[in-house]
Amino acid sequence: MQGDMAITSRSSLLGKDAAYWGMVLLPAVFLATLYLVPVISVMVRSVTEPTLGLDNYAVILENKAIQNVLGKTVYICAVTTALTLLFGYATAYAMCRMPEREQRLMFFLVILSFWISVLIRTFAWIAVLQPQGLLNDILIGIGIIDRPLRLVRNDLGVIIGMVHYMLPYAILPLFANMKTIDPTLVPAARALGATPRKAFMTVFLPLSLPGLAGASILVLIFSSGFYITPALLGGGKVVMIAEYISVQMSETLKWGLATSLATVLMLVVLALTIAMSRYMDIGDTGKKA
Amino acid sequence: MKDALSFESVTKKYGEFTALDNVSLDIKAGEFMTLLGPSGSGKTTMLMTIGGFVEPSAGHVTLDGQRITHLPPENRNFGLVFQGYALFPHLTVWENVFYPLRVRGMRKAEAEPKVRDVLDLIQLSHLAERFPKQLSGGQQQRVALARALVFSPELLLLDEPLSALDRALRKDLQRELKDLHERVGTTFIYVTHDQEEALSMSDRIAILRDGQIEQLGTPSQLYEKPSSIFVANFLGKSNFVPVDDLTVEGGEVRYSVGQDRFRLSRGDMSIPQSGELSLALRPERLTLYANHKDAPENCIAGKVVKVTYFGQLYEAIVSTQAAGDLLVTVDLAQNEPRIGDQVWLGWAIDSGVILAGRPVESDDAYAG
Ligand SMILES: Nc1ncnc2c1ncn2[C@@H]1O[C@H](COP(=O)(O)OP(=O)(O)OP(=O)(O)O)[C@@H](O)[C@H]1O
Ligand SMILES: [Mg+2]
Repeated sequence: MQGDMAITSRSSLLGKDAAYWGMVLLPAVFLATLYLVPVISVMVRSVTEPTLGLDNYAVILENKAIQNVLGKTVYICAVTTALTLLFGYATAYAMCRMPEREQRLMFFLVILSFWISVLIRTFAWIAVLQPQGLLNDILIGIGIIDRPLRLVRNDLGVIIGMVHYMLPYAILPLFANMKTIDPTLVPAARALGATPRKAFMTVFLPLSLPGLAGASILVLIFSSGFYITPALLGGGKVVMIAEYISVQMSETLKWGLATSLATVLMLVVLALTIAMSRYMDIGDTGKKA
Repeated sequence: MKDALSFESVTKKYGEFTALDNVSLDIKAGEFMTLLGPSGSGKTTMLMTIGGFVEPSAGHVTLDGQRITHLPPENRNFGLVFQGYALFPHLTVWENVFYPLRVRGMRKAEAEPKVRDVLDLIQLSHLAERFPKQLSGGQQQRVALARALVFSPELLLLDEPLSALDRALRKDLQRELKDLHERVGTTFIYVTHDQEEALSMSDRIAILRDGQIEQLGTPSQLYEKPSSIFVANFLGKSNFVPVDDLTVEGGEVRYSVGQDRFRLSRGDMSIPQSGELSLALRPERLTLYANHKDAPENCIAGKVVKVTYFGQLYEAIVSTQAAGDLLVTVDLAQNEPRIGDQVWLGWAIDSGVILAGRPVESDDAYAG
């Protein structure tokens, strides 16, 4: 009886295996042709155009303009990531402590922002932040300032736009992680003598590190590839690497330089992902199933 | 003994809902006090009020005469064991137990002997480097206890600490806990809805019902002299027989059930005089007799209709004319009751209590 069942389940497993591999293989082929091939060709071009060798990478190391762009990219990404994590963490934390109904509403509002395209949001920010924009008008109107603040066409404008765009990407993984933290742990810490601050620092924060790691990878990777937002909100003065690569390709036609920059960007992102993923799953956060 | 902790007319409201209704209770220093009651009766609310997590809407909580009603939890120096243990998953057993000392500013080297002592106490020193998820339920429970005891708290508060464990383990840990209480001498305030657990472990039990203390007393007081049908029903099994007529003459109560008349020595019991009355009789206070002449004065005729074997005893249901079906326990030394036997059921004149009201139909009550 049992032997029979084992045989049946094995043969059906084999049948399932075929279907399983079919389902895995098809997307694998699809991904290989549409992602892997172009990526490899980018890497190959970076060492073959215009001549065989590492000339392009030498240029990256020497060229002042490129270094400025890289420096700016690192700076904007770092500030954006830090601010996004800060605001995202606060929002997710507040959401966790809300009653069920408010929590669902907040969740919906966060998701809602995915529906608005980055272009629309960017122009909206220009309308809000420009010298004759909404924000300056209000501030002048109520007499807090008498000359418009320079909120756009500079680093500040770019950072505001990027942080706003990235916030949901930080809130969602942070919230998902915080929901898994056993809600009795912080009260337990309090009962054992920890002040609210100490309970947060020694219990809640360490347990939310996986969420923070996940959120920071997402935000960092996304923001390193930002193109439209810096171009528009930076007013041409804030050039980040994605825009620079695009200019090299479509205007100056230096494909070798463009592909080598793209390769550098890709490798940096890969390294960051590997480094951070070590912290992402430190495992059990105390919630009982 | 002096009072360690007191509730002074504490009321807790959640909006319109009253979770604690004017509760007053004095807990003695070193006592094992159990809060027992059905789900939603306010046990956790009461414990969390002591712990400082619930602020009373009215009334006060005092410790050694000092009001602590508004003191934040971290300043109370009470050990608290949560139902789900609430061990910190990112810390090892050692670090978990060290935690209360750490937040009090103690360094590792300084704390080492204390942590080791309390880990020895619960016999888990060999698992000090494990993480909580690598422990069994019983071991986690013990770590939670160690963590709550390591800083020598003035009170230990336990919220259904054993309810997640299986029966055999629960029995072992009950014994260990009781033992621990005797050794450390700390006041234990213990929440449970398991009546057996409450009876076997406590010095005193407060029975909670709808946010009020229904009765307070030692386990035997509550079991032998329940003050209401609710308590008699909640603690153990009881027969409830409707009493038709009752007169009190000095130290003696005469009551009738149908045509039959019985006697009860009053002792210090207060007897409700008016309204509907019931006699509560424990199954183990009833004895089966084959002949009328062997039976005591208080006896009633009936027929055995059901017998259940429990290993250490039998339970029989005896159908009587006046009192309906009565549950009787028969120990193995007596003859095995057989279905269809015509028997006499007798009880001593100091057995049973007269309670106000009639039981509402429920599965554990053998109402007449
Ligand atoms: N934060 C709250 N808001 C509203 N009502 C609450 C809150 N906490 C408790 N209650 C209510 O107060 C009553 C008592 O709750 P409590 O948790 O003290 O019960 P309990 O005796 O511990 O029950 P259980 O055995 O199920 O744990 C319940 O009816 C509960 O719904
Ligand atoms: Mg409870």
